[in-house]
Formats: sequence, structure tokens, C-alpha cells
Amino acid sequence: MIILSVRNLVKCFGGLVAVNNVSFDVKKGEFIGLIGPNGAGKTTLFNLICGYLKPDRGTVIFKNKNITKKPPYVSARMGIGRTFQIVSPFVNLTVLENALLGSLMKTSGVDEARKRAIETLKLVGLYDKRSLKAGSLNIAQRKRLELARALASEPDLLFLDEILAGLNPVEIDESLELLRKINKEYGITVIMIEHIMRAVMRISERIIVLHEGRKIADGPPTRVADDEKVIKAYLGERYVL
Amino acid sequence: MWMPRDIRTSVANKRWIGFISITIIVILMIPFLGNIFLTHGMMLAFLYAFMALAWNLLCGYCGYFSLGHQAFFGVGAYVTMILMLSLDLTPWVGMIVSGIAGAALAFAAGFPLFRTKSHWFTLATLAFGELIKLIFINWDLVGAANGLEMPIKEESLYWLSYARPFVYYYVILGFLAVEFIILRLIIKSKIGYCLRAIRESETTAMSVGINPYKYKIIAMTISGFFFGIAGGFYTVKYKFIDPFSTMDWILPTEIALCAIVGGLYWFIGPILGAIIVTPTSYYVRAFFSARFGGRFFALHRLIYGLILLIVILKLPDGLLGWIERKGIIKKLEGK
Repeated sequence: MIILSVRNLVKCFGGLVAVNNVSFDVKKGEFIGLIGPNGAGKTTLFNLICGYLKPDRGTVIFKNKNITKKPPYVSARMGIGRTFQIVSPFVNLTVLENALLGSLMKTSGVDEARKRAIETLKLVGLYDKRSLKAGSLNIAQRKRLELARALASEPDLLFLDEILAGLNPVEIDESLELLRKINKEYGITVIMIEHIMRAVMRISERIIVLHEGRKIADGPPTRVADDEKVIKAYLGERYVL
Repeated sequence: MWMPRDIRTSVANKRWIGFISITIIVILMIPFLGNIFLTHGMMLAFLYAFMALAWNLLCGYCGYFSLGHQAFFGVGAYVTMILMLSLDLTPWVGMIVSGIAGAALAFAAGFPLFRTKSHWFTLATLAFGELIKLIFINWDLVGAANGLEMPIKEESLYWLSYARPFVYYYVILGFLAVEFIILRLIIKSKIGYCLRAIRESETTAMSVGINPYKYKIIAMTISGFFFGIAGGFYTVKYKFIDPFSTMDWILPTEIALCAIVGGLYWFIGPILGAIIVTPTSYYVRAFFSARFGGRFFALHRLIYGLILLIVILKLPDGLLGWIERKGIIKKLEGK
């Protein structure tokens, strides 16, 4: 079953074509890695799908509904969760309140939302920090809080924007374990932008490569890693899995 | 309500209950001291606290700094006055209608005003307030620049007409208590969480399904309601209104000062600020006009400026923020 269908998306900033005619389909339950050099248009593509930017052309179909040019809070309520590349928690609120705001989307009762938020915090391992202000967390914890907030809103499709950047190898392994659990046990479809090849190649079932706004490759990690165009544009040398 | 984190311990709890009870008793006893000057000063403080608490919902919790709330206050003042003049209606009903009028105006104004953000929003509200004032200055039907005066009624609770501030003191205190409970419930509900999320980051708020525009208009409407009621109260207390006294943009700056001095991020911050700032300025004004006649009429504004300067430099997060940072509460609780 196809959950998300992106058709011929185009976005220009002045003379720069940031996203150029990108199309792809996402099946329910897939784990997709989105890679490409800096400025390839990965985050712009996320913003177009989630509604933070309005595409110049093209359509986005989510769960058989056209959500092109719908504001972000509408697509969020339909089941699209996301994290931000530049982590932006609600810094003056506590960790628990941050997660609670995520779970408030699906329930209007604060007590019920608090219960769900606590479960989510236990899942991502931030339960001990629940009464600290989000602004006092370090970068690894903030990234996990981003994830907790998105997860608490119980999305069907989750966009992760460089959630592993700035983490050390141990933290990366922990996060990958968590992401796999989210994908397999909770059945959440994940699309992840990531620069850490070791991680993205290991966890993704499918990889989409963007270069200068165009999709240049789309397939399983082994095939993408051998693709001449991808090697030339991004990987630099033959990537050995 | 702002509370220290470790309130759970029973000793601290008992001390708090004691402290709060004594405060309430002192507040209730003030008019019985027989000092009209003090009673009036504290009544003004509660009127400002009433407005500052409502203002803080939009400006402290949601982060949208309004300098246009005098319009809701002024319209509220006019509605109670006009209802008394034309329909001979008791101000008790008039004040509620004033609240609804203030809320309606705030709701309508919210749509264009919230197209703007941060300091542009503040400038837009300032322009909006002046616009409403200009309309009333030129509107002959409501007395234009001459204003309106209330007919003299017998002293009664029905007309809420008294020469001395005794009854007004308890009326505004009751209003403040009711408002306190209502806003407290709102802050604890989904609306309160969403407003704070919007203050922190509208982008992130949208990612969890919050429509910032909707919640900002809700906050504006609620605060407009309470400003309307405050305007109605002003009418029955002072019995004369004109656009210059009820719709001057000095009002929201004074309200803002109360909230900032007390602490913007705290629920009771604006009340504390109002109780400190308003009687001080009232006393300074009275003191200078008694000593020097009309020569230093606006000197209390200078005092306002000085207080604001000191607070910004020394207590950027208000008195309550300073108290929390210094751990004074913990020391008082004997830790």
C-alpha cells in the first residue's frame, strides 16, 4: 500500500532550482534514506511535503488525499511527523511538556496526553530528564527530544532530518536500534535525511539520492552504493558496505 | 500558579498555606483600616492586576506584545456608560456586555493584526489602538471628544454608585478572583500548552498540529473580554469617560510594566507587579501634586521609566524570576 506519493515537485528560489521535478512513492512500513551532497535540496523536499514551503509545481498525495500547499499543521494532524535539522525544542518548557505537546495533537485531555508523553520519554530514554528545561539538554538529548515530540504525536509517516548528526558512535548505535524499533514494532514509515553513510546504509531498505535538486538514484542500498552517478556526485569513492 | 518545585513536603506545604491565608486576610482587611487613600491605591492595583493578568495571556504566555489593548478597555467603558444612559441598565449587566464587546472587537481585530509578527505586531496594535481612539474622538453620537458623564444615582449596590472606594475595592477583588480561576483553568488546559508552544517556536508548534493563528486569536479574544470588563468597571468608578482618558496607549505600557516587573513567564507575576507598581506610582503622583501643584504632573511616568530601566538591567526575568534564581523560597522553607 502506497502511503505517500510525490509527483513532479518543483521549487525555485529566484533563479536557483532547489527541487527539480522529483517524483517517488513510499510504501507503508518502508524505511527510506534520503542522501545527497549539501545543497542538494533534501531539506527543501521535506519542507515541500510537510507544507512549510509551497511548491511551484507538482503534487503531494498522502493517504490518497492531496495535501499539496496545505499548511504544516494540517498535514501534521493527518499523520505526518517530523524533526528539524536545526533542533528547535520549546526551550523554556520542560522535557515532559515538550513531549506532551506532541501527544496533545491526538488527544485534548492534558492528563491522558501526559501519560502518553511519559511512555514516549521512556521509549527514547529521556524519562530521567523529564522535569529539566529543554534548553538545558545537550545536543544528543535534544535530538532524542525532537524524536520524542514527533513520536508522541503518533504519526504514520515520520520525516527525520539529520537526527544522528553530532552524535558519537555509541549514541548512533543506540539511536539506530531505537529507529529500527519504531519502524518495525510501531509500524511507522520513516524517511530519514542522513550524512553518516555507515548508519544510513545499514538501516535503510531503500535509498533515494538527490543531486542539484534532481533524483539521480532510487533503490536498495547495495545498488545505490554501486551506482556510477551516485559515486561521482556524492560518495566520492566506491563505498564498500 | 507559580509554586516552588519541592512544595510536596508537608512542612513547606503548611508554611505556604499559612502564608497565603495571612495574605488573603490582610488584603480583605485593608479597607477596614479606614485609610481612603490606601484603599483607593490598592483598588487601582487590583484593577491593573486584573488587566495585567489578561494581557499576560497573550503577551507573556503567547509572546505577542500588544500595545492596543486600550481599545478593548475603552470600548468596554463606553458600552457600560451608553447602556446606563440609554437603557437605564444596571452596570452589573453592562459590565458583562462590555466584556462581550471587548471580546468581539479583539476577535475581529485579531484577524488582520496576527498577519504580522514580533515587533511589527506591536506597531500594528499601536496603530489599531490609535485608530479606535480617533473613531471615538470624532463620533458625535458617543459624545466625541467631550466624552460622556454618568447621571447621578442614589448610593446602592444596584447602581454600583458610591462616593468612597470601599465597595469598589471588594468588587474588583472579586472580579480578580474569578478571573484568576478562569485563566488558571485555561493555562492548565490544552490552550495554555499550545500558547506557550507558539511563544517558543511557531515552526515547531505547527509540526505537532497546532494552528498558531487560531490560538493567537483565542488568546486575544479572552484578554479582550477581561479588558472590556475592566473598562466597564472604570466607568462605574469614575463616572466620566472620554477617548483621551480611556483609550490612551499609556495604559497598555503601564500594564506591560506591571507584568514585566512581576515576571512575564509566571502566572501570578502580573498581580505581584501591579501591587508593587500601581500604588507606588499613585503615591508618587499624589505626593508631587500636593507639594508642587501641577508643575510635576507627569513625574510618576519618570518613576515608571526608572523602575523599568532597573528591572531590565537587574531583573530581566522579573521579581519572581529573581526570587527563583536566588533560591530565596528554599531558604524560607528551611532547606
